[in-house]
Amino acid sequence: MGRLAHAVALENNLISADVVEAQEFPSLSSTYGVRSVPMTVINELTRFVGGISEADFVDLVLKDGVKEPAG
Amino acid sequence: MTPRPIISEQDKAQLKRDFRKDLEGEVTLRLFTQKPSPLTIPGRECPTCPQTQQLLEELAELSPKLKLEVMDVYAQPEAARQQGIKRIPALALGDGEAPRIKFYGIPAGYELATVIEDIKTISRGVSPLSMESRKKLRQVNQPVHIQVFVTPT
Repeated sequence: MGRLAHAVALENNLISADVVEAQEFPSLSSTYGVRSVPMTVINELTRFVGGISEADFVDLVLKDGVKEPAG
Repeated sequence: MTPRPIISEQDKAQLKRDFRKDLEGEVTLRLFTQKPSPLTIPGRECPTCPQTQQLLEELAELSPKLKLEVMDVYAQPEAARQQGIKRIPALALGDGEAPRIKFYGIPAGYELATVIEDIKTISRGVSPLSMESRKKLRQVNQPVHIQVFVTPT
C-alpha cells in the first residue's frame, strides 16, 4: 500500500503520502488504533486494513479529495 | 570501525545495475535526523536514526543520480517545519519546497523496495498507475493526506 499511496501522491500537488513504521512511532499508531498492518488512513477519517486494488484506492482518495463547486 | 553494511554486497551489485539502466533524472533523498550524540537527551531519543542514515548513505552511493541531503532537525528546525516533518527519522523524496512523499522510521526490508520504486518513478517521470487512475486523480481539488502504517518484514 505504501508504494501505491506514494504513486498516487505524485499525481497531484494536493496529495501527500507518508509511510510510517508503526513500531517506531507507537503513540501515533495508537492514535489511529493501528493493530494490524498495513493500515491506511486518508484524511483522518477513512481507515482500512490490508491491501486494496488501485482502482478502489483511487476512488477513496477522490471521495475526500474532490469537492464540487457550490451552486 | 566501519559498521557492518546493511545492504548486502550482492544486492548492491544488482541495484547498481538497475539504477544504471532505470534512472534518468537526479533524485534527492532528504533525510531528517539528529546528529549522533554521546549523551541521550530525554525526549530526543532516536534509536533508528544512525541506522537509517547508514542505509541511505549505502543506497546513495549506488548511483551518481542519487543525492543524499542530511538535515539535523535540531540545528535546522525551520527547514523541518517548512517541509512538514513531524518526527524522525524522516525521509522525504523529490524536489521542491514541500516534498509530498515521506517515510517515517527506517525504510528497511520491504519498505526499502518501496523507496527504490519511488526513486525510479521520480527519476523517470513515469507513473506505475493506469491512465484511468491518473485521469481521475487530476480531479482532486482538496488536500488529501494519506498515511500508511507498516512494520518491517
